[in-house]
Amino acid sequence: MKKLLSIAIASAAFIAAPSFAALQQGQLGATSQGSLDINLTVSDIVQISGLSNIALAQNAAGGASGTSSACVYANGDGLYDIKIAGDGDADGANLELDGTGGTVGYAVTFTDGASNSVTTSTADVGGTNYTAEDRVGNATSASCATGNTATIDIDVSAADYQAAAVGTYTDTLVLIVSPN
Amino acid sequence: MIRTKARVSKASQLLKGVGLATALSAGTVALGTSAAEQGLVGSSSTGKAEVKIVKGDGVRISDLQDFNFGAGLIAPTAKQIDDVCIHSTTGSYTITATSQGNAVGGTQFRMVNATLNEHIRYYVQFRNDTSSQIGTNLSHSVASGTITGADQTSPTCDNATNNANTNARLILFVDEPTFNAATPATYEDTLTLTVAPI
Repeated sequence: MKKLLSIAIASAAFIAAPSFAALQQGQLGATSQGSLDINLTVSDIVQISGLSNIALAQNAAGGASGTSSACVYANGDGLYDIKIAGDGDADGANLELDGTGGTVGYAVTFTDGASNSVTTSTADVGGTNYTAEDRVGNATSASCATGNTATIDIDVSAADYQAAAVGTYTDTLVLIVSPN
Repeated sequence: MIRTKARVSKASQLLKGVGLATALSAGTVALGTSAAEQGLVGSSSTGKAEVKIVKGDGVRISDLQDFNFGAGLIAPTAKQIDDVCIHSTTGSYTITATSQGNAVGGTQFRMVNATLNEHIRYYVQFRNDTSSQIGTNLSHSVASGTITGADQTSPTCDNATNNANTNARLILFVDEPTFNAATPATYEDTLTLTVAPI
């Protein structure tokens, strides 16, 4: 005898129930009027975009540096938090360029749309993300059409650059933005 | 490649300031083909950018001083010595000395007086330490052979064994026949020294 097996699949989707007022249905007559409420809930949302890959070049100080602009959008008051990290190396170091000749540490200076700057430390090791809070972004335009762009500056110190063996060094800088 | 100029003067009253022209050797870096990753709008947003640097062989010549032979009346004048710092990431290099006063070609270094249209020849020697006043002759615009002993890690020769942070020596002296035959006047040249890694 074959047994029929049934499987019930529960949907994980969660549907929020808006707190609507009672609908008013129209009455039958020469005219009829009904009314309904319209409800929109806007959550905190953010976006980081406008990033460019950064080619470091030797600078006058004897080190190397490069920059990328960034657009950070945060609705509401425009404030956000940002985490800055490298791609996570096997040796646990965080902000570090990897190459055949070894590694080269670097620092990141993040300047928000209100010119507030924070700089990471090249000693930022152990895979710890660097976090900066209360940064100022663009509160109205996800493409920063109205300004408030941010800047990411990368700096390799003269001592680190000069001590590095000849070669090519790369890292992937990861920027994670969340609402403040 | 780093070029540095030092002025050579026979009879100027004062030493001129040191002129160092530092050229940065890093060129444009070609990044990988992957584009930066832009974040999406959401409750959090993550963007990624590649950071890349290409380090090539670098060199630097520094600690140069102007040379002043003073107001000599008759040759030979004293040798002029300047200890310099040579940095090369490979440890080896060539050096090329070019005399602005040599407008006729050939191998001579010349201090000139444009008004008199006369010149005084001088010689340039180089050695890769500071132990004596005898070096290897350089020729105008001709690269030396491979020289070793550059400071590989410090552009300012912090690893030099002497207190002056120098590891090489320029030695200049005038040519007696052309000096004694020259009309009394001031003769000058600008000597350009170009160091390249090997």
